[in-house]
Amino acid sequence: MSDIVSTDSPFTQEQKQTLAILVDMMIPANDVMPSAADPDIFSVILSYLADAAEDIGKGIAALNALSLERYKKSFLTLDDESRGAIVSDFMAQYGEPVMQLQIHTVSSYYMNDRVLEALGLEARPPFPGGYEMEPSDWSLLDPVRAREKIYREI
Amino acid sequence: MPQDPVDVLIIGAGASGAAVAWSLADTRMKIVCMEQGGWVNPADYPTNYRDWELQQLGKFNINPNARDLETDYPVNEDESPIKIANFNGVGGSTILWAAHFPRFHPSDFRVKSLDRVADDWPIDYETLEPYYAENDRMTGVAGLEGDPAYPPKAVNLPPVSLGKLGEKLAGGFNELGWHWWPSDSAIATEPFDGRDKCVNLGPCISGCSQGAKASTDITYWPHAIRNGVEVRTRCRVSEITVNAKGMADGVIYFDENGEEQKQQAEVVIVAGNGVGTPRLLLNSRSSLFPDGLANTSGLVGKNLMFHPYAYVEGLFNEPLGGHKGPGGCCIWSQEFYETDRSRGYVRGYTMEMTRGRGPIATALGGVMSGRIPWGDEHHGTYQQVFDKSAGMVIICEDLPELHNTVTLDPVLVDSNGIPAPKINYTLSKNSVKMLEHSVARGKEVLMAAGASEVSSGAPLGMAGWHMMGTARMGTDPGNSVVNEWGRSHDVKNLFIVDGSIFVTSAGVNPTSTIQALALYVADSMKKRLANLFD
Ligand SMILES: Cc1cc2nc3c(=O)[nH]c(=O)nc-3n(C[C@H](O)[C@H](O)[C@H](O)COP(=O)(O)OP(=O)(O)OC[C@H]3O[C@@H](n4cnc5c(N)ncnc54)[C@H](O)[C@@H]3O)c2cc1C
Ligand code: SF4
Repeated sequence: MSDIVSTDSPFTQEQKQTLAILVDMMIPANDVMPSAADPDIFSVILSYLADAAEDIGKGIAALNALSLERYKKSFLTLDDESRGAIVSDFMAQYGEPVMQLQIHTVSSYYMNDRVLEALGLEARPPFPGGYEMEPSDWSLLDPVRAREKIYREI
Repeated sequence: MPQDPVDVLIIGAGASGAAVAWSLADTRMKIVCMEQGGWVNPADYPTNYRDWELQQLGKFNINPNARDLETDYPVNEDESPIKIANFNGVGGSTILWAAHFPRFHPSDFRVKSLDRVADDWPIDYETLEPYYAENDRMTGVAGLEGDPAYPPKAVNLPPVSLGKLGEKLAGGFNELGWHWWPSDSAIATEPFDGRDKCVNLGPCISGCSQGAKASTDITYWPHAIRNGVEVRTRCRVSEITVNAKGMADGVIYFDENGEEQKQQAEVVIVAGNGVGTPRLLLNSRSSLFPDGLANTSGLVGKNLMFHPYAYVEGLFNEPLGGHKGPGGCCIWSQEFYETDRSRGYVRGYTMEMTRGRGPIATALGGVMSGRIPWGDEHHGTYQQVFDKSAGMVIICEDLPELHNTVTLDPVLVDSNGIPAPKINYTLSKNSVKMLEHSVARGKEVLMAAGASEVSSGAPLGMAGWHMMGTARMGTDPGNSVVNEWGRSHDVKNLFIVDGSIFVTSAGVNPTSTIQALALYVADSMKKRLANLFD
């Protein structure tokens, strides 16, 4: 198992490369937002996926099998267009690993500091800071206050 | 080794167990409450952590089967479209509740007389009114007086903020001329009884780190304990035992180490909620009560009512600040609460506005539903959706039906080997029609408020958080499990105080009524102490 980079990661280098490509295809960078394959985000995705490593490994194997069957090449060596075609089929077919990948990519991405700040949110847990709310306009209730009682008298 | 006998043994330290314990404490009797779960540490609640949205799916998950803690019992819910939501620990399900705190309407106690369905309650709104008020004072209720949907009632704290989201939706109701009002909320909007004020964290239904939400571990229990009540945690009662005269004489329970223990008691009060209570009674079989304790009527576990829920969500073209403010409590509408037969069903519902979703829930919901694509379009679409959705859940009155049941599962057991409950539940035609009506009205009001897209779903699968009717009250022992003040018809020193004793469910959240009933039962006991078992 010489290709396992870090002793506490259950993923091989090749699996990591594949996952990085997948998450970048799911959430790519644009002018403002980072890609899900950004190292800060990707490392969190990998740590969450570690619990589902067996399922994910099977999913990646299936993705490669699909690639070999269709293009006679491994997934990592495909061009972008072929990858796109194969990934959408893969996403539609492989329930559990795809579900895990989606959940953890989304979660890790949308709790990243840079992502939250780009969305205009503070990068912190809700507690203890909480949030200020603007004063309420209770005059909106005037038409309701003007109504007769609407409950049934017994 | 048997423990010293106690005067009163309460089973369950949730909403009703806490209220009844507090009220009985002034009798100076020896009162012990046994709770299968433990005390919850607010520092463990998800909102303390950056990954709070993920943690909500873990040990504070609202579904006991998903949570699967040692302190939980499994529930076979395969035969029900609505899945159980609860929490087992001191505070019970109020640890995770949204803290909506509506009362029943006077008409809710008279459904047979008014609408020729189900049964009337043996008590009425007037009987419960002083207990509603007492419960409000103990809990701290945020709201506004003057709601035309209710008889006059006092509130003791300022209402929860509308926020942009609430104002937007209120505009929709005003446009249509429909009723709305700030939700009565069991939330300290100002410091109250040693609790800090709400700081608008959002996800109240995974526990309130601030201590503003009225879970009974921080409302009733500190007072009850100060007045001498003992709470014994990690004690799971497997059976209520009876003597040769058919009176309850105590319980058998499993302690934290899984050791079987006995506790004798003069009076037993069950407060295990609408599923936990019938489960325990059905597990308490004896030669005198071969079909389960207090079950001569055959109604223990029958007539299970949930509230069928719908949700309706709309997309707006401006940010609504929906991540701020109590997630479940905002404004509600009771425009369609009272029966109008021209709608094709009887009884009615409450529309309860909910605040927005967090960043992860927005993305996950969007991706799973196909609304937010992967790839180059992801960011643009996410921006169109995030913080721009607002909506409601709609809580429909459920009517009692004998075939909706809690029974004992023949196979499934909890970690102590005690048979687990099994739920069989189907929606009635009345509920289906009411849900349809409510979804159509929900869409109408969101469009009136300016939504550009609306989506909906019914029944809401994860919404089995109100469990009622499985040991109903009544004056006829052939047709009810407890009498009009909560005492078992069959076993004269056995009382039930949770939602099991509901006759009907009303179209509102039940806990204000559950606790008012618990206080009323306690008071009825105190008034009859000299001849309680006659
Ligand atoms: C996510 C969520 C949101 C909710 N939102 C609202 C809301 O906004 N408004 C509202 O009115 N209601 C709401 N509810 C419902 C509300 O929490 C319940 O109606 C209320 O807590 C019921 O009180 P109870 O005393 O009957 O049962 P619980 O509060 O559930 O307490 C029962 C206790 O009994 C214990 N127990 C059961 N069996 C045994 C046994 N054999 N031995 C020892 N202990 C036992 C359990 O561990 C539990 O702690 C919500 C619930 C959930 C889960
Ligand atoms: S919104 Fe208020 S009540 Fe809800 S969890 Fe936050 S502080 Fe508690």
